[in-house]
Amino acid sequence: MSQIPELLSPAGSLEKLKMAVLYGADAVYAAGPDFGLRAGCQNLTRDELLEGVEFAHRRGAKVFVTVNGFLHDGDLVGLGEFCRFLESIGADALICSDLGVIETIRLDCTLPIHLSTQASCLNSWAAKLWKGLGVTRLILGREVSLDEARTIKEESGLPVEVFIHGSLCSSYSGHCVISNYTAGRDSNRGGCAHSCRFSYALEDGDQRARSFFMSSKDLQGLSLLGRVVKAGIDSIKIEGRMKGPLYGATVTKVYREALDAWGTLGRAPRQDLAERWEEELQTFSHRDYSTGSLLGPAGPDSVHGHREELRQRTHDVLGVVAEVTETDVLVEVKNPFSLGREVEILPFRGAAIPQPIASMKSMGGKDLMRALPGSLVRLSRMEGVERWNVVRGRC
Amino acid sequence: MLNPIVVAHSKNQFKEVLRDGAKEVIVAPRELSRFGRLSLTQSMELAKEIKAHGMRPLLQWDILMTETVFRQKVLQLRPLLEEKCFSALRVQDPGALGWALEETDLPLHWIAETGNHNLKGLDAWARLLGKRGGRLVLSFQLPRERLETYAKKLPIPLELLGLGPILLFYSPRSLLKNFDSIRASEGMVTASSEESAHKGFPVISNDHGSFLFHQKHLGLLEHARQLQKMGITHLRLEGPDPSFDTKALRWLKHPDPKGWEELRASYPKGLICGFYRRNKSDVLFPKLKNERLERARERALGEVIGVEKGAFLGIRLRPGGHLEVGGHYLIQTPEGKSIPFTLHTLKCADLSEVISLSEGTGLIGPIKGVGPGGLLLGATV
Repeated sequence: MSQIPELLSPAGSLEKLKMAVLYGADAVYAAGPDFGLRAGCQNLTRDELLEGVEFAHRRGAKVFVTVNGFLHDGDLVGLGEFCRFLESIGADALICSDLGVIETIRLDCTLPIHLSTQASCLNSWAAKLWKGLGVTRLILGREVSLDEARTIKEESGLPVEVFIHGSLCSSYSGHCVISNYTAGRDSNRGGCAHSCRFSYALEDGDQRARSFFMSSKDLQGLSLLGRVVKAGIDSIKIEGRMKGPLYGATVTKVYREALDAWGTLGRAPRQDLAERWEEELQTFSHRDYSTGSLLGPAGPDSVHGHREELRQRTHDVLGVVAEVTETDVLVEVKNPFSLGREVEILPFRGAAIPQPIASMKSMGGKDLMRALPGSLVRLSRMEGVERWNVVRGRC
Repeated sequence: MLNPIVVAHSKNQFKEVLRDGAKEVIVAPRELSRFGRLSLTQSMELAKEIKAHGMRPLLQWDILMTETVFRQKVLQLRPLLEEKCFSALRVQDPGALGWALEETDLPLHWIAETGNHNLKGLDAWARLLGKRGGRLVLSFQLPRERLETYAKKLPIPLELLGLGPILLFYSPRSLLKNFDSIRASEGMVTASSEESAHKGFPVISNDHGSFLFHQKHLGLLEHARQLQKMGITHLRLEGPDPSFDTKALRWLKHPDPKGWEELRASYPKGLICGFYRRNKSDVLFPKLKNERLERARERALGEVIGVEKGAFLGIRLRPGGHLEVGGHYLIQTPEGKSIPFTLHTLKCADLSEVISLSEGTGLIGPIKGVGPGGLLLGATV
């Protein structure tokens, strides 16, 4: 039977890291305070990285740390020391795109180096060149099809990782500098202003059209997992360190269950299961889905030609379980909900647990009619609920 | 010596620049180059003509290629190389570089214009190129002080765009195909964002994908002498038509401020020097986050995740965080207030009283002015 790929999930904070691991990620990717590509993201402090690595390792998961900015000379100061720190806490690999970063890392530590998708490695000759420069895994450019990924793996002898779900750049990664010139923010050092998502007026003489012509649809590769397995892809990656807990938990859980089904059955799972997973991937806000370039070059239908509309989500995130005591579930409230509403707890394994809110108390024990964001509320303890479960409700 | 380089898209264009001092001419076949217009045969013929005039024809192979495209392009490229009519091969895809190092014996120009903003990386590329390294084409986002350092330290000739369009975005997708009403005359339209002040970005769509440019061109000619002095060896001219390359070539021979102003005034696009004076494209990063909290986060013991007015604060302890009754702490609010307090009571999530807590969620008495997102710090911090 073919090997099931590693499931790699985003961890934009320590909390998201723990949730990703608990919802089934084999590995997570996270950034430290510097050197990554998400300047606006909370990222993890050193203490958090240490706890994150320990937490993941105790559960058999790995932690890859992104240092994937295209760094200027001044940015390299401290990188070597940071990498030695990461090695000392047992981080499993570094994700890089800049040759100067790779050179620095190779001098200062022995951690495996994964080439970031930001480097746009698109073909086997590029793969072999990067291998010669010290790269141990390729996170392929998102323009590469699954068939091409297999060839690149075979030709280079390196493990390959492909994106399977989430937002996509329509530019070749690392080759967009719109933000640098329009917003004064270096998109390749974490300052991307998402200019490709803006509305533009296109003009050609008298002709004019208003559009979102650069805004790519989101990637959704759930139905392609069979091909992923057949192509021998080593790791599938979920995009989205900046996204919220409902997204991270749901996408990780769905792909975990789907991969496990493939692992167990060696073939496509039952239709009803596949439909349920597809429904789960509608629970949070997203752009229209497409298969990107996984089956072949992304065509004109892979972008939002006209107004980009976020798909209506079917659920709201209501909170995250902060603690479970003998009698209560303490929920950190993210969105308001009222007494009588039916909520669903998303367990780490298995179907969502529906639960009408018959009673609700403040953290101090006062009866409440309504839970408000920024508070902790007590719900009656439910079977199967654990700390870090997501609480959601139908819209 | 600052050697000017021009691009020729036809024999006529080449003839226009022939007299004016360019020693090297880039030949860009449409099959291999992002903005190439020549067929492979035309490219070969032009290269031979350039060579016949004692100049160096440079073959531009600057598209990025997935495996499938790469294999097609190599088949198209081989006959061109077998003719031995090019003096160097210019590549931007690392795969093209790897292939060219193994499969050709031409000098190579590595186009390092995207990313590649540090000496370590550039030096490593130069080492990889070794004796085959004809040149590094540097990013035009580099400020002059970095250019000066690189020119001193890199053991390879260096090229910079001196005049021409600023490419902002390169996608393999045909992004204009969805617009029946916009039929891109000569493959170009302009795009104006309604959400940023920048208007009139030219967009080109061709067989290699879609390209978006800044509405202004880069113009570093007035700094040519400085570039030469610092050791930049080659300056590329890509004016909107050959007449501007010709003017630029003439100006480079006899540089004077008035001539530059005339050239600038007649140039059909605005000219900017981009990041040449300084590159500050990271100074806004701290503003993307709450700076006060960011500074405190490394030292925080916990974070306020819930507030019950007049009753409790819910604190999620952070790694290494420890709370003890009688201890002195302060809360740093997102708004910048630091509120000191002494911890008198501490409860676990099940409301049982404890004297200390090192993990999970703790409940402490209310503190006026504190909301969710505040960070709890030791009072000595």
